[in-house]
Amino acid sequence: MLHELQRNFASVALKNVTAPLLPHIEGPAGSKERRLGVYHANTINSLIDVLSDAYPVTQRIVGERFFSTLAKSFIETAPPRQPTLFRYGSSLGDFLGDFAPAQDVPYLADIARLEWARIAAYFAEDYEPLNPQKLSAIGPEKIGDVCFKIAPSLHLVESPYPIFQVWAVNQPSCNTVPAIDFTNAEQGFVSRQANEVFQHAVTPGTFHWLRALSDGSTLGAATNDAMRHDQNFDLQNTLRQHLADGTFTTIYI
Amino acid sequence: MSDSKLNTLTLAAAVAGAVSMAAMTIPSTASAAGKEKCYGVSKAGENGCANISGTHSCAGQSTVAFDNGEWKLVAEGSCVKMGGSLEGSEGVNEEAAMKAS
Repeated sequence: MLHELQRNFASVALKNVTAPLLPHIEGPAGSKERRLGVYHANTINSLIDVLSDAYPVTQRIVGERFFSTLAKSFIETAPPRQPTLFRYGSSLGDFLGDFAPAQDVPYLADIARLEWARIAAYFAEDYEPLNPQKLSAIGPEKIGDVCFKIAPSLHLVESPYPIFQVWAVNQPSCNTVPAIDFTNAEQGFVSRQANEVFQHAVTPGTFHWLRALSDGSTLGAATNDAMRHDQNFDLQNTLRQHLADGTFTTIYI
Repeated sequence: MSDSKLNTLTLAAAVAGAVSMAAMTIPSTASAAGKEKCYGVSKAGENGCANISGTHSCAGQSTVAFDNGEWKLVAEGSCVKMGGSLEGSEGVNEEAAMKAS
């Protein structure tokens, strides 16, 4: 009984389907629907606000009006499944990939995925970055066999569009819009140190290196993989950069 | 196999180089910890149902009124446009918005 009542109320809140709940509501006919409608409007608007907070660049690219309408469609397709709002909206990027009215902006879905990667990085568990000296303890003959455990905040993102550039020029602090070549694919990563989320576009070589290491490849195999995609892959500088960025937590053989 | 032996040597040298350089750069990463949180992300920490729109429900309803079926969606906000394809549609959108409101 309670379960059914709750389910009916959820239908009101999410879909404005009031009929099943009307017998339980007091007051003159007609006003019941209107009063229940307030719950629907509040629910949908709260969720739109949550999405708009989570996806500021996506919203800025399409405008507030377009965004609130696409958010409404998304909420209908993917209502919250968890009692916490801070994780709500993770699949907006996939939704936008199939959302016909957004196809004029073909990079929009990947921008949304990048923005969600930032949220995921922000809420990833805290970790202690790898102390580089631990690598010194490995003998030269074993160094190729080393595997890295990757920081929980690291998220790899790739797109056939220059999403890191598009993201950057859509920051409130950005006043000039440089010419962007939309035929440029970009790949990179998002991560976090302390409370600061950061992101970098990287070369295809570095991207393959990071992905191989994330998948559990040894340093030797990952480096070979990177060099197959990028002859100029610079292991020393890339590794130095990622030791400084806190990309790794531990090493093991 | 001689190739992989060469790799081992280069790998070891590169790792040793990276480690010695990383040791020098570590203080700078520690000092970055005090920086401000990034735009948009900290706001997403909001939880539960507390929300500004919850306090004025009727104003809220008008935002929801746009229906995908009756209103042709056109992206309008971009300061980044691909080949100007969105340029022409902004006017149309204004018109549609006027009609809808």
